[in-house]
This record gives sequence, structure tokens and C-alpha cells, in this order.
Amino acid sequence: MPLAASNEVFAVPLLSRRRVKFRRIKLFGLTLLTTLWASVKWSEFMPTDISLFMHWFLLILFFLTFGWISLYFWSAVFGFWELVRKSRYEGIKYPAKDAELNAKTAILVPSYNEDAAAVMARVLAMAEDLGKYSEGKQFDFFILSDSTNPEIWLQEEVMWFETKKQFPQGINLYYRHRPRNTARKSGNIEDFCTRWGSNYKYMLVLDADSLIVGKTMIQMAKLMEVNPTTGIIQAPPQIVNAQSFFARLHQFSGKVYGRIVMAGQAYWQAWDSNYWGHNAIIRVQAFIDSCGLPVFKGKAPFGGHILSHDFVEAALIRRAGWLAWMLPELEGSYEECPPSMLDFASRDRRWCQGNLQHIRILISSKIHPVSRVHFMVGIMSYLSSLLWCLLLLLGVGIVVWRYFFPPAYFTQSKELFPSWPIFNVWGTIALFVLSMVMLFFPKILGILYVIGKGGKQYGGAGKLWQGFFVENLFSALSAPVMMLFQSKFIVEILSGMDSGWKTQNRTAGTSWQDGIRMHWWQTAVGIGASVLIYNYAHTLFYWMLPITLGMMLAIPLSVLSSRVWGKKSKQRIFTIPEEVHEPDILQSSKRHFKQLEQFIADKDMLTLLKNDIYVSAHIYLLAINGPMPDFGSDLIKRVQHKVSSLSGGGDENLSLDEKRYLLYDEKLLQGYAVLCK
Amino acid sequence: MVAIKLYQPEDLIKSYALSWHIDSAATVSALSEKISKEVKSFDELLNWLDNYLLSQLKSIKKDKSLSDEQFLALVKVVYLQHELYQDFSIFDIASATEDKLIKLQEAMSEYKFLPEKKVVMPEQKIKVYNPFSLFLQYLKKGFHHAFGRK
Repeated sequence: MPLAASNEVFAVPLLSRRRVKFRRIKLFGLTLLTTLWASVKWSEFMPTDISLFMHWFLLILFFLTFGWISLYFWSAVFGFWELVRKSRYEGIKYPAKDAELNAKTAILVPSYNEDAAAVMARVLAMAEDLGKYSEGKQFDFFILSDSTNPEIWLQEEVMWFETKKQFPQGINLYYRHRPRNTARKSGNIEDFCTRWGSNYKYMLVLDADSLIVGKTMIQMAKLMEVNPTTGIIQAPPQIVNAQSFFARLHQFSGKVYGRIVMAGQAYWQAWDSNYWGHNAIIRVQAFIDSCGLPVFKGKAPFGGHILSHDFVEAALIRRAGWLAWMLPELEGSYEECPPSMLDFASRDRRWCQGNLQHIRILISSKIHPVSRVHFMVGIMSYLSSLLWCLLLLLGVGIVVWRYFFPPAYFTQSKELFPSWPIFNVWGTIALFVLSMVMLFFPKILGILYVIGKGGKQYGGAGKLWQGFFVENLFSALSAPVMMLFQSKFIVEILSGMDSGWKTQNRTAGTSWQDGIRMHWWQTAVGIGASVLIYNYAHTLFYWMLPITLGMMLAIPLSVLSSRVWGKKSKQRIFTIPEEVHEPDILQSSKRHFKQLEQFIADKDMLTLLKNDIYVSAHIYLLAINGPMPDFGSDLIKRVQHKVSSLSGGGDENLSLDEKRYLLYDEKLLQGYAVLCK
Repeated sequence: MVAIKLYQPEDLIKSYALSWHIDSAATVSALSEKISKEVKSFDELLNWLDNYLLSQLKSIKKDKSLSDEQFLALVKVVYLQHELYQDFSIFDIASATEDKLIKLQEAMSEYKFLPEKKVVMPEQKIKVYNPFSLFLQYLKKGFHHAFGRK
């Protein structure tokens, strides 16, 4: 039972319940005050000749969008203040330097049709790093595969077999392939918990692209040990290994501005923090007891299994009384970024659906108010795009309307003075400038913080400011493109379209053909809007140019930003310390990748099956994976017939589903393997 | 059922025997002869080979606490482990001492997947509220907090 329900847990000397409450009052109070003040001003500055309904509609849209950036602004300001004042996050109890670690931790690596060599290279690098410490033996790795592609499934097993040989002594590496990937990642983790979870006190959940240094993993486990009421500790992941311009830009923003944002979140969230689905350590028993996810009534996108499970699990574990922390000072926690705008948007489509599904939980019973704020923030991350889009449409619409229907200056006969429609242009510009300041100021704080810490590892102050300007220029141009994407996603989701579960591309760039195919409509909207505004709302033309220009340039922006620009050097823009002095764990994961890749590179299932030991390993693992899914008698007969027709040397005339069945049929597989030779 | 004629029995036996490191030509030809008389299907072939190996291995089994099935499983595991633990092979088992068998058992235990400890994750109830009643509930709580008795 968690102790958090009692007051005992809050008797942490450094951070009282009252102080956290005061922090929240300060943050949300300032956000509300700023938003209210700006909304009142906007109400005064709005054109006087619009209807009352339109007035209120615009005001509500403004209130929501301005409130969104205001929350971001104040959170970053407090985050900056915390970072400057303290080196450690206060509130949580820190373990003594010589504290022992006696509890076992399972490191879970869920994988879904990922590059098997890359995943296992990262796992091996982490295991080697853990092996340097005596506490490393308290950790075991579990590769939890949900891969549906049989070629990748077999590659994963080969990689497991070859990696295991190189694993440090005392650290186990287990592999399990799930026959049915029910409930996606959350179902994968749940399957682990119900079968092997009870062997461990903690589980460190990773993503297929996650990397955490051994020291940090041990520190996380020790933190859990000395904080027995804690259910989750989230280590904020930092983007690394970025190659394309797009990914490096995000890597730079995450490194320079991200810390401020994280510190701001940790400042007001305290023990009510969120869980992001990976790079976090979880108390297994607490998770088993309180995080069994329900299946919502109805079909996807709003019904069915919960898509973005992490926020919900954090809310449920918190509801059960366990604490959830996010600790910005936990360094050495890494992840990778999608290489292009299209891959980023593809991931956003899934996340957007998951976050909108949270609307149901947002208004559910017994959810902690701060958890509700997490859901709200997640929903607003996508909804704000649609609101911004509506605000722009209405703004332009009013001016175009006025072109076709000029205001009536004299509404009555024999009127002495005309009734002028009033629109406070300068006031509106002032509000626009204020919005821009609130958007850019946290970024400037991030740059100042890094310069204050030295900044040489970033190529110096000049390079940092150069990065700041280019990042903002690119963000300004790409923001309207993402706004259109996200607005489209929301409309799709509201009309009942499910995102499905696509494998994430982590390396390839965008071709011109794909760029044109995916962005033509945004370019068309940009051109159409520019023509419309130029002809019928000319006063807005230059004000709207950054938005319409971004849309018109969507194709080159997307394609060119997915490419690798410039050679690796300290003088390159967007340089971060991890590029100048690459951490050991990143170097070793790349080294292992080159070595492991040789076992599967250019080898299809047929080639791999020629190796007896791989066939035997696969058959051995079948017993662990669980019962075979139902393939249907037709497919089984078809595979049997195809295999029986083979004349020797094997044949690739099997579909992916057929290959999948073959991998389940031990005896047929053995026969097939013989014929492959 | 996949008929045995679909395969080249000699190839299959050879491969199977090789996979068990039984690579002497005499053994393979003896197996081929025996199999052509006794085995009618692919399934039968595999069963027969398993039984044959089991009977062969019985004679070298030293650890009486192991059942035949366990012993066969152990041998299979050692075969899989061959690449991991280069000092063990089927030939080692043939001349295995009790010490070696214990070592083999240890190797197997490390190779085996972690034993399952089945538990149930109870499904959590998430009761969706009417947003209006939720708002009223918070309003009530807020008033209570502000003006209620401490």
C-alpha cells in the first residue's frame, strides 16, 4: 500500500505541500491574470462592426490560444529561476553516495518492426555500461517484441542470440515475441507484468530508440529504493544521434530550451508529474495493482484500447496514492528524433488521436486535478493548432467580408455624423508583439542559461545565437504547415478515422515525390490564401506573409530539411556538446551496430534459416512466446502446399502472413530449413 | 500431414544428424536404412529421431535425478548453447562426468527463460463524468475549501 495517502510522505523537509500549492497558485495565477488582461485588451481592440456572436467567438479563441502560450511562458520563467538557483531538484529524497542496491530491475525494450541490429546495439551498449558497476548485476534486459513482420521477427531472434554471447556476466538478456499485439505498447508491458513482472521490484521502460547510461539507471533504482512511496520517476530524454537538418534542429532546441521547460514543469508538478511512456522507472507492484487499463466502449478513435497509455498510467498510479516525479537533473537519458517533417507529422497523427481520446478520461471520476491538467495540456498541444487556424480564418474572413460588404456609415436617414467602425490597429499590433515576446523569451532564457554555463561545447555564443535565429526562422515557416497537418488530423479523428499502428522511420529522408504527394495541398492552400488576401484583404497581406509563405514553401522545406547538411564539426550550426564529445554509450552503440548488423545485413528469412542454430533458437523461443495466433485453415493449407511443392533450395514465394505461420509451425519449419540449404 | 516423400530423406537425416553433431558416415547410413523401413511420415520421422537419440543418450546419462525428457531437453539446450559455451558439445556429453553434467545443468538454467510468476492486473475503472456535474463538484469543493470549516 502506498503511504502517499497519509501525510507522512509529504513531510519531506525541503518541499512541503503548502509550498507546492503556492507554486501552483503563482504559476496558474500569473497565467490567468496575463491571459485575462490580454483578452480584455483584445476585446477592446476588436473591430466594432462585427456581430456580438463573432465578438465572443473570437474572444474565446484568443483566450485559449493566448492562455496556452502564457502557461508556456510562465512555466519557463519559473524553470529558469529554479535552474539558476539550484543544482538539484528539491523534494525527493536522494540516496547516500555509498548506498547499496539490492532490488532487481527489469529493463524493458518494447520493439515493433524496428531495426533489430540498432535496437540490440543500444541494449548491448547499455548492458556494457551497467556492467562497469557492481550494482549492474541487479538489472536484466527484456526485449519485448510486438513485430508483425516475420523477417524482422527472425532477425530479432538472431540478434538476441548473437548479442547474448557478448553480454556482461550477471546481466541477463531475455527475448519474447508476442503472437498477438493486443493493446499495442501498453498491452506489451502488461503482458510482461503479468508473466515475469513479479520477479522484479522495478521496471525501467524504454523505447526502441532509448539509451540511458548505466550510472543514471542505477541512480534511478536507488532513488526508488529511498523513496518507497514513489511509483514513477521520469528521466527527461534528450535527443541525440540526429543527422538531418530537421532532427538536428529539434536536437538543438531540446538541449538548449528543453531544460528550462522541464525545470518549469518539475517546479509546479512536483510529485504529481507525468510519465511519457519511456525512459522512466516504475514500481512494478504499484503498476500491477493500479494501472490495468480498461477498454473503452465503442470503436477507435475514441473507443477501444487506450492509445496514449502513458498519461493514463501516470494518472492511475497517482490516483492510487503513489507519487510520480520528473527529475530534470537525471542526465544521460537519450532518445532519437524523427528525421523529417513527414515522419514527425506521422508520429503526431498517432499522438494526436491518443491525446484526443484522453478527453474521456479528463472528465472521469477520482482523477487528481494535476493529472487532469496533464490531459488538458496534451489535448491542447493539438487542439491549439485548430484554434489558431480558426482564429486566422476568422481574422481574414472579417476583412474579406468588409471588402464585399462595406460597412454602413449612415444607418439612419438624415444622420449628422457617420458611425465609423473602429479597429485599434496599434493595440492589436502591441498584442501581437507581446505574444511573440512570450514565445521567444523562454528560448532566449535557454540561450542565456547555456552561455552562462560556458557555451563552448555549443560552438560558442555566436553559434548559439546563429542557431537561435535559424531555428526560429525555420519554426516560423514550418509552424503553419504543422498547423494544417494537425488541424487535418483533428478533423480526421473527429470523423472517426483511426491512425493504425505504423512503424516509425528513424533514418530515411523525404524524397521530392513524397514531398509533393504529402504537401501539395498545403502549398495550394498557401497560394490560394495569398491570392485571396492580396486581392480582397490587402492590408493583411504582409502580416500574413510569414504564414502563407511557410505553406507555399512546404514542399522544399520538408524535403530539404530531411537531408543532412554540412560536415560534422564544432563550427556547424546547431552543435550540441554530445556532438563535440560523443558520450561513450553513444560511441559503443554505434560500434556494436556495425558489428551486429553483419549477422543480418542483406539476409532474408530464407538465408537466416540456413543456419541450424538460428532455427533451433527460434524453436526454443516459440515455447516462451505463447500460443500461436489463429491463421485460418486456408492459409495453413496454402503454406503446407507451397512448402511441399518446393524442389530444393527454398523459395521466396511466400507472403508475409504465410512466412509468419511458417515460423510458428515447428515441424514444417524444420523441413523448410532443410530444403533452404 | 506433409508426406515424407516431399523431402529427400537422406538430406533430412544428414542435416538432422549433423545438427546433433552425429556426422559419422556409418551412423548416417544406418539411420537411412532404418528410417526407410520404419518411418512413414515426416512427423514420424521426427519422433523416431527423437526416440533414437533418447535411447542413445540414456546410456551416457549419469545424473539419475534427471528424467529422460529433462535429459533430452538438457542436451538440446546444450546444443543451442554450443555457440555460447564453446567447451560443451554433444561429444562432451558422450564422455560426460557428473561434474560436467552439473555444469551443463547450470548452463541450462542460465539459458532458460525466467520462470513465469503469473499475476493478474486488475482492470481499473474509469467512470466518465458528465462535464457539468464535474464542474459543479469542483465548484463545491472550491467553496468548501474557501469558506468551509477548517
